[in-house]
Amino acid sequence: MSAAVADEAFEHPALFYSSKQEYTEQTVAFVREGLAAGEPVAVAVPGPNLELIKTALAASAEDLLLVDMERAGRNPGRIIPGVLRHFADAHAEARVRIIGEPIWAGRSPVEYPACAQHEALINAAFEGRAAIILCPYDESRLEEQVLADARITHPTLIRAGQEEVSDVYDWQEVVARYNQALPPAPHAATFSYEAEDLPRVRHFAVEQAVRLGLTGGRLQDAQLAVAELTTNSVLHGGGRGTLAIWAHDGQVVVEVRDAGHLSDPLAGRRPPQPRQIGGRGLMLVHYVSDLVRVHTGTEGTTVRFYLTI
Amino acid sequence: MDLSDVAFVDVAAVTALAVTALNLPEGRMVVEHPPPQLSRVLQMFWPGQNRIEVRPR
Repeated sequence: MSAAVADEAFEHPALFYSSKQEYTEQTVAFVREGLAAGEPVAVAVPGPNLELIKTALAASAEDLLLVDMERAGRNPGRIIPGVLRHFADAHAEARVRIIGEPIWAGRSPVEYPACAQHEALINAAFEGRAAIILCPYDESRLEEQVLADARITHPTLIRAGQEEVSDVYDWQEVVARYNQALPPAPHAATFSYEAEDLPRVRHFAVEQAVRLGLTGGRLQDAQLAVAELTTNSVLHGGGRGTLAIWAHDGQVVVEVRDAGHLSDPLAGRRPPQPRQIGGRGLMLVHYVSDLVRVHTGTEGTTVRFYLTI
Repeated sequence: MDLSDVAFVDVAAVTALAVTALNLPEGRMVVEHPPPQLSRVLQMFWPGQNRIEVRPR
């Protein structure tokens, strides 16, 4: 299925760059165009690139919001609500202009599927909104697959100063392709639960998280996220589920499996209204985690969240 | 409201408090000694709100 329909209000170009100089020239021109038009401008890119832009803009850098994407966007699943919509909603009366660079050369293979899905979902999250979000891609350091995916997740492409329409734009394809199965971890501690076990599964997760090295605020966050996911299983996931927890590569990984199906691709990424009753659980998991991976389908849903120890 | 005896609050519980406080015709809700998740969740979803005063443990 192709989604190649031009959105007149929303623009989402990918910018392919291959040198620091090209990066700086292109991003600074983009920022200046917005400032000249009186548009609210935000720049959310990895730290070193943020420095390049800040230095080149000098005093005008004070007129925009600068965000270190390696921190704010560590978990790509929180970039739409926490960075992009956060900024756009704070300037709801204006057309906003944002540079968002969620994919850099240090992203791991475990992170990348969530990064690609995030880029795809920007198109759904901003459909019909007056905004332009420019996403830079480092052609000299990113893998060919990443660059190929960027051509599918962006309706327009900018390379060597030339802008063209992507003839392979089809964001749903990328969301579906990276909805990858998450095979059970062999050495995980597990706990199967039903409604009456919710406090017990939470205590189990906390005990295990402590054993694996989580402390303080991270431990509190793990407990909150476990409570949301296990409650979701009981309310929307067939009434029961299985929690698994283990450590890998300096992170604690918590997984919740149940029979639910997340049919809304933007679940957990729509900022709630202050008086809205529900709709915050999955977003909380995204906010507190360093990474969230999801596999969902009619046969069930697996959510994994990662917390760095 | 004193939450000294409450060991844990989830997002639904904090939402119930926050929405109640936002809908008060005037004044503030004072929550004493809540579990640490309360402030964390308030900060996450209602940053800058001033209808709930939290007195920590």
